[in-house]
Amino acid sequence: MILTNIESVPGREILRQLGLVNGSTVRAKHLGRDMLSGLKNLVGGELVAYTELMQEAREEATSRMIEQARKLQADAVVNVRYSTSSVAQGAAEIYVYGTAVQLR
Amino acid sequence: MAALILLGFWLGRQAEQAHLISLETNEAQYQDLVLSNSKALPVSAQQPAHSELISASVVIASDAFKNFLATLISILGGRIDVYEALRERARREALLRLRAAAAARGAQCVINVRIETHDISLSSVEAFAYGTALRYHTPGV
Repeated sequence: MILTNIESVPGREILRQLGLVNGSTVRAKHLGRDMLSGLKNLVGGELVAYTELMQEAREEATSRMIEQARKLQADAVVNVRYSTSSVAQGAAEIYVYGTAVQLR
Repeated sequence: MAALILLGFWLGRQAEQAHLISLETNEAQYQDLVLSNSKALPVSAQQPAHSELISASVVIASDAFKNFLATLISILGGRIDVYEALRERARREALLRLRAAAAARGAQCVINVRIETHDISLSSVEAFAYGTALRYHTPGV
């Protein structure tokens, strides 16, 4: 599945638009054992475990969107946009959406 | 409590300086890889051989001293420049990782770059950058 965040796939022609597809996950932003992060929050620096947590959440949301596109028998999803928002206490929702298309 | 804040100040400043130096060094490495937040192809007549969506992110924690200072400023009013610098560092790091991801795929540029910056917790921030990486047949476009 080809993904782009522009309105086309450069070099390919869009035959037909199949509709909006999306994927989302809601993940707790905090890990179970926060001891190391507590130390990092004292002295600053990258929180690698949190970076990976958010990356995984985005990959999950993106694969759900790709699955929707596959069901429509799309060749690509164009104009992909991500949206991240805080939900309730200490959770984040990753929402990704785009337009599924058939290519020539 | 004061000792923790002072420790946060000292170690936090070390970490920040080290990060800024590493950012400058690594950004120089990728200076030929152009980022654009326009949807236009860099050379309109030339179609890329391959395009794909790429993304990169980083979560950076603030330190105890910054948090203490920020709380103070939010009571007194004014620019919280410690957080400004923190968020800017996070964005630079995310864009640097985006360039690295593009280079790893043999791309020459990334277009329609979008950046999101938001809080993970009270004292850490995530910067997330994504865009469409373009690879051309002839390198050095």
